[in-house]
Amino acid sequence: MKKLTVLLTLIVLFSITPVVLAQDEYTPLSLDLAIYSDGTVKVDFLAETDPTKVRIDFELFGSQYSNLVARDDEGLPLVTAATGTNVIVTCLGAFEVNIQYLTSTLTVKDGALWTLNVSSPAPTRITLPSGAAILDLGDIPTNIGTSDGKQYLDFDSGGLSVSYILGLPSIVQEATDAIEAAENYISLRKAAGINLTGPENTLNEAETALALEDYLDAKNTADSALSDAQSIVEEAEDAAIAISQAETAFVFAQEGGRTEGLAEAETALNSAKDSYDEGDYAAAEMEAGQAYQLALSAFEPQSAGSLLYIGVLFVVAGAAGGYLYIQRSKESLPPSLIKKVNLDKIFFKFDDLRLEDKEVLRFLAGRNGEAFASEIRARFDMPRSTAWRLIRRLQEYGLVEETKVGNQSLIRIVSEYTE
Amino acid sequence: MKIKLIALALLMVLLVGPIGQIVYAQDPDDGIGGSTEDDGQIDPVIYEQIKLQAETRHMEFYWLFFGQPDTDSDDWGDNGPVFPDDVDPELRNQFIHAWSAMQQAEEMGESDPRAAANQYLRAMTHLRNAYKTYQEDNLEVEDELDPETKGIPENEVPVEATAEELSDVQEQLVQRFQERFQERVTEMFETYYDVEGDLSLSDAEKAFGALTKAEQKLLRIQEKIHAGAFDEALDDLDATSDEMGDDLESIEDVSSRQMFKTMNQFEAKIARMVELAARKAAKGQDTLDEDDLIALLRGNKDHAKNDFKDNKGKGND
Repeated sequence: MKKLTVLLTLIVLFSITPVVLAQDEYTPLSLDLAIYSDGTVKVDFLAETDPTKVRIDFELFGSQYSNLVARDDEGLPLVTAATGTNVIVTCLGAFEVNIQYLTSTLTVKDGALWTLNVSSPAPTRITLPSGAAILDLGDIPTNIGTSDGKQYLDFDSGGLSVSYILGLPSIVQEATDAIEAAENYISLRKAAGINLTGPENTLNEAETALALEDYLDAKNTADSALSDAQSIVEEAEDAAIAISQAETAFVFAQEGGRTEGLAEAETALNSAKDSYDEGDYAAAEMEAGQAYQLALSAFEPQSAGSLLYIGVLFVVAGAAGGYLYIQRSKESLPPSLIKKVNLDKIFFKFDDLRLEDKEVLRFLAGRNGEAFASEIRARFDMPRSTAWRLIRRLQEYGLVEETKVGNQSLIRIVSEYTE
Repeated sequence: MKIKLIALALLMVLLVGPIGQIVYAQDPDDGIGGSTEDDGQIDPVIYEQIKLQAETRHMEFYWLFFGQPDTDSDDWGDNGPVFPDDVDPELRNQFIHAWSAMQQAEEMGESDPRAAANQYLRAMTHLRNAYKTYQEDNLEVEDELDPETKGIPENEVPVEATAEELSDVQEQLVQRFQERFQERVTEMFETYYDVEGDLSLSDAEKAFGALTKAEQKLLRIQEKIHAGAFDEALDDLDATSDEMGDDLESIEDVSSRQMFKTMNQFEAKIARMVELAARKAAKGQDTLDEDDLIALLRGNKDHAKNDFKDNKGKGND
């Protein structure tokens, strides 16, 4: 119905300009150019036509074409005949003709850079392929928008030029990913009872930057939020271990009857627990350490063999501390440390790997399957961008995965190739 | 509501119609679809979009060329981007030019958004040149950036009609066009008799001759259509249509010639609209819009004819 209204309005306008149409067989109304990622362009041209004409000669856009279809205002297919870059349409009195076809001659590719050039006699919409990043525009568009995930640009008639590139790493995506990673990490740890108010505030700042389209700031701020959260979680774990050690020492002292000085230990232990609950993990660790020392130095009110007993307690507490330390070390042990990388399997499966890719994989294998991106760059004396592309390549092969650790990228060979 | 709006639009068109005709008659090169005058204004939304495109590309290219910046771009200060030591001087220059254009755009953004938008476009041109320099030095980037190219999806390819379908439709259209053409000529004869007294003898003969010739040819074409010779009928219709146009073109008096050509256009449009309305009505669809348009076209036609007669009556020939 809307289309009909527009059409009828056009007819009305047409009715006041008979002289123009008496001279021109058609008046271009609109041109739609949808570009696909291989450079093919689907042309959709709409023209108002002289209804007294049986055949009309249309000039096409582009030097070669295929799948040409012409339809009249009722949508009926019309007979066409090609004449070089023109086409004669047997329109038989239609007052509007729509011509659609495909052409690859409107776009030019230079490396990864595509350019579309066209001289348009009518208002024109250019729809770019998915993921296209606009690089250059010959003129200011009248409108820019997105439809079905594709960007489009509207222009008035005239000479039009648009350059674009496909596959450019999107900083918008990187910023969004960084925020998501930080959000996930923080929400999980928060659910476990760790106070992460500071990183949460930083994350809010990142989200604000994203909303303001300051993507780089958003990404860096989100990375900071994650890094801060990781530091706090580490502090919290250290504090928890220290409190646990202090509690053990306290119980040993109590059970051994060494009550002299134990009240101070208890006070320090409670204070450590309070600090932990308040999220002051550094203070909690320090106070727990004090409680531990106080518990160790507590003694029996009157006992002959107390010194010997204290000595035994030291040994027991030391053993307990050592045990906890080993447990903690085991918990934080990266999985790759107990894995062996199967390079033969990788090289057999991906025989087209570049020499430098193989070298980096060997380097990773020698480091139990993982290394920071900065370590790879340093080891191979590689510029940042080259390293980034190499890692991206290995990711595309499905050989490595990237994990953000603070501001660093940890590159790890995927478990499929480790034993 | 929509009908009222259309009616209002039609009324306005009716009011400006005669003016429009005068304007176009005087300057026929000023056709529909000409470029609008640049008034220096730009839609703020478009300005922001262009700005965003330029700034995003600047960040993305910095990232592509040099990796993630060590400092936030907000901290670059007056000297522009910070580059690694071994950067290609050409690449550096293009990048600084782009940054500089963006700085200028930022400064003029509020006072002159159009000029600012042009500066952002200039920045993007520098970025394109920077990319080309980078590409020359890093040939592998093409393979790495270029995603798997996909042609047009099958469901978006224009669907070509079969030869049989085209032939059937064309036969229908030939028949319809012939009928409408006949009706048009009949209407043109009525116009002719209406204005005959205002034409010179020579022009009256030419106009009458053009219409008579077309009428006779159309009768012969009708016979061919009845005999199923559609291809031949099509060629004859084409020739007859052109011939009638040429014959009307030979009328010597400019206003008389213009009047007949205008009538020819109006009649063609009216006949087409009448046909469309009839087809819609046969399907039980609403034809209010078409009926309004037909009334408007007829009104305009009469208006043009009366104008001609009034002018001729005043001795303006």
